[in-house]
Amino acid sequence: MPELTANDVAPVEGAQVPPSEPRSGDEVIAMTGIQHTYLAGNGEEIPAVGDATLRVGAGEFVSIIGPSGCGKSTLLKIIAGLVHPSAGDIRVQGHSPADVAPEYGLVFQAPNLLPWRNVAANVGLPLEINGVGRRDRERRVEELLELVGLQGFGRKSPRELSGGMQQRVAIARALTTDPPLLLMDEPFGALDAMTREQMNIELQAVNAELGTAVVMVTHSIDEAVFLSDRVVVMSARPSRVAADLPIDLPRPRGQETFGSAELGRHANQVRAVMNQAGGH
Amino acid sequence: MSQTTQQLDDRRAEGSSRHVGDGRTPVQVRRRAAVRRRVTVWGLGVLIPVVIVAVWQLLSQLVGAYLLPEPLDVARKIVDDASSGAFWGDVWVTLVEVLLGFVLASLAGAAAAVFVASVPLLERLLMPYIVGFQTLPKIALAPLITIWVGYGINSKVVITALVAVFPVFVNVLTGFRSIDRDALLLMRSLRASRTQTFLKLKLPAILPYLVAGLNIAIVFAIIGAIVGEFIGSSNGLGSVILTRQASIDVAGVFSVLFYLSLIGLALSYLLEGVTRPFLAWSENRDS
Repeated sequence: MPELTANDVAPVEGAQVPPSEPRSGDEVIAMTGIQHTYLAGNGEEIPAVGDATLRVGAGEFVSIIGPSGCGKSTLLKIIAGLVHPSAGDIRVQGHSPADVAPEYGLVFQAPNLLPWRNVAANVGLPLEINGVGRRDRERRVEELLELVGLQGFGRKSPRELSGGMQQRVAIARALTTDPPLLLMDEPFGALDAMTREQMNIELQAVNAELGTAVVMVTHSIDEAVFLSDRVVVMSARPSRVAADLPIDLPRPRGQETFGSAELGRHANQVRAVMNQAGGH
Repeated sequence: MSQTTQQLDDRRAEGSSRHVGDGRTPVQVRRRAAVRRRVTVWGLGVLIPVVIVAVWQLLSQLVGAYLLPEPLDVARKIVDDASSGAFWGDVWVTLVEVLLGFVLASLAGAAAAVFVASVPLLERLLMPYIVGFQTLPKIALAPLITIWVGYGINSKVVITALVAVFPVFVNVLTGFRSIDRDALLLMRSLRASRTQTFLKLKLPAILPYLVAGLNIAIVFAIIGAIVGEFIGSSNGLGSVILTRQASIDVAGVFSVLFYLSLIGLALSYLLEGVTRPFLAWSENRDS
């Protein structure tokens, strides 16, 4: 880890504040003092999440960034109710995920499409599981394919699509049930840089149109800053929220935002906090 | 080279219309080469069986026709068998044993794999036994089965099923293990029920493995039926082989082998034809 200079630290000071308030009053996620320890194969207890307190408001886009193995993905699974935390309190839409399964869409790093289903059937899978009738399903799938710019691709097989297009199908699938919350685990990590920027711009537009709250785990600082209302920086394991930085770049954000000095300034701020919080 | 590329190349070559020494265009040269290649493939296709029959004929004259009958004698025997009602009766018996054993093995193997895979603890506990039993040559159990089940068709069906069940079981189990963890997580996140997860994710995912297992099982089933008949039976193609062996009717044994491979081919193609529509998605894109 490079030594910190006075210049690096300077812009960070303002950021060392308690978690900022969500943009709107309605909280989608409220977690307080979440801890999670998992058992390694050799029986050793590994504290992955040390103490995470985080609030996400309705329609808010929050990125979680931090060193590898800091429990970012675990945090996402805790929100999803797929992992139960060792300690702490979590409410998603006012309920504990352990009691009431929260409504959310989930996007993984790999598109994770079912290869025996065509694109439309993949996007319609959540509706199928919820018992939505075929005609309603088809109409909704059409809407979503249009939203992610894949109209006319419904009958294609997933393997006929590029990686970026497959990930768009995955996003459409996560949005079919119109959830108030979208959870994304490094959704664009496997894409090339150009496609990634393009996907960022499109996700930003989709988020603006639907008003879905998004929690995204990412390793890319630029991506986090470009998309987010707030960037949450986690420290190394056992992780804590090291900083919760508001990103006040004007919206809508487009291609030009990527090269802008404003984005660069925010990115540097995030980078500085990450260095201070224990390298990556 | 694919056809479209070929056409493109041809067009390009025509455009340039340069002439080779003897006045032929490059296109003509290439077409002639393609024709020559096709003739070669056809020629070899005819030549190989001719050579095999010729060598066979030669060998049979060298070692004596009573050890290695001449091709024509075998052909005559094959035709004789085809017109014999008794022979078709034996074909029928073996076919029934093979099919019953195969169906039994497929159902039992797949069901056992589904059961074992759905209880992770069971899989871990049973694995050493499964591996141990798998390495045992099941054929060696045939005499035991005959003691337990008797000499009728039942014992042949059981032996056939026993030989054919493992490829199905092991393949399906491997299929379950190959299911993507994230795909399972996706189903959990969608709050899919166990039945939904099975029908929409697990079943389609294991299908290519099941079919691979069935393809091995059908071949194994024929082995099982024949060996079962060797152990003790008065009908079926296995017993025909033994009878003909006893009377040193080598051409007759060859004829049975011919019909056995015919049965094997027919059943394999049938299986492939039935299962192919379900597997279109898993076929290699480039094929």
